[in-house]
Amino acid sequence: MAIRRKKKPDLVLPLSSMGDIAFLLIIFFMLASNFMKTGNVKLEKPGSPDVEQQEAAKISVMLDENGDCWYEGAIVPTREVTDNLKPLVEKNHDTAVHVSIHKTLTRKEYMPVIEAISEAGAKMILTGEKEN
Amino acid sequence: MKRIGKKKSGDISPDLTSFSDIANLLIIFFILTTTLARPFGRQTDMPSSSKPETQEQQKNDTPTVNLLSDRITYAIGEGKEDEVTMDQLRAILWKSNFPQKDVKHRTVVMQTADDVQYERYYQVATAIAAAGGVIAIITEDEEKK
Repeated sequence: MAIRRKKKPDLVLPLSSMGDIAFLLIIFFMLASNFMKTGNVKLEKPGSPDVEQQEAAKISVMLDENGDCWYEGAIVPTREVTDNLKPLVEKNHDTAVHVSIHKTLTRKEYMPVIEAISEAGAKMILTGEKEN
Repeated sequence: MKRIGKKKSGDISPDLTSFSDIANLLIIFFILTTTLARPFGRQTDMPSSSKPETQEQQKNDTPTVNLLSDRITYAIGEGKEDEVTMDQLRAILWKSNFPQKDVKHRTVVMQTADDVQYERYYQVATAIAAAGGVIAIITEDEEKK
């Protein structure tokens, strides 16, 4: 006896709204995010109870666990930090630099960086972890 | 006369599947490369290095924090150095009432020993900045003098 197969209903998913949602998400991320230029830098930030939440970094200087100085995601000699910052400070006197330094580095390693930023005349924001 | 008829419009439905694929790839890219977190920190004010005379004049009443690897000492001008804990230093700095003072009298000199780790320096520097003080660093050249 021949068994009659049931005809499967023709499933058509409306995908046009999916694309709309996806593009809305893209616009959100483009407006709300700032790129991690230093995601690959290995450093442990120091902690202090005297810190507060800051604006996202526009310019960042980092000193990693090996004592390498990173300016905007690239390793540079410390003396170049002043040269790079000076023209920016001349354009905008309120230029703020986020400074992140590995917590176990000693004075001889971190002080030249702090002095270099101070010499350029930029505002310095020392970043760290909030401690209670 | 031949009647001009309207052309029958064809059923236009562009394939949007690949469109949403591209959009999803862009979303994944943004999720992986961005950070929405705002960092914690403290803005530290440093005095202008072009005014050494003013600092010299203030030497007698300028607070000095001496940062060593195992202890912190606090002194006013050339006065006696007292050993303080971090909490005591915070209390002294807040009592100094820097925000009410003239900018010239907000300076706190920070002397740091070579073996002091950044975490210790950071805690003292942020405490001074939070109290409204302006940190003056003694550089190696000045120390040699």
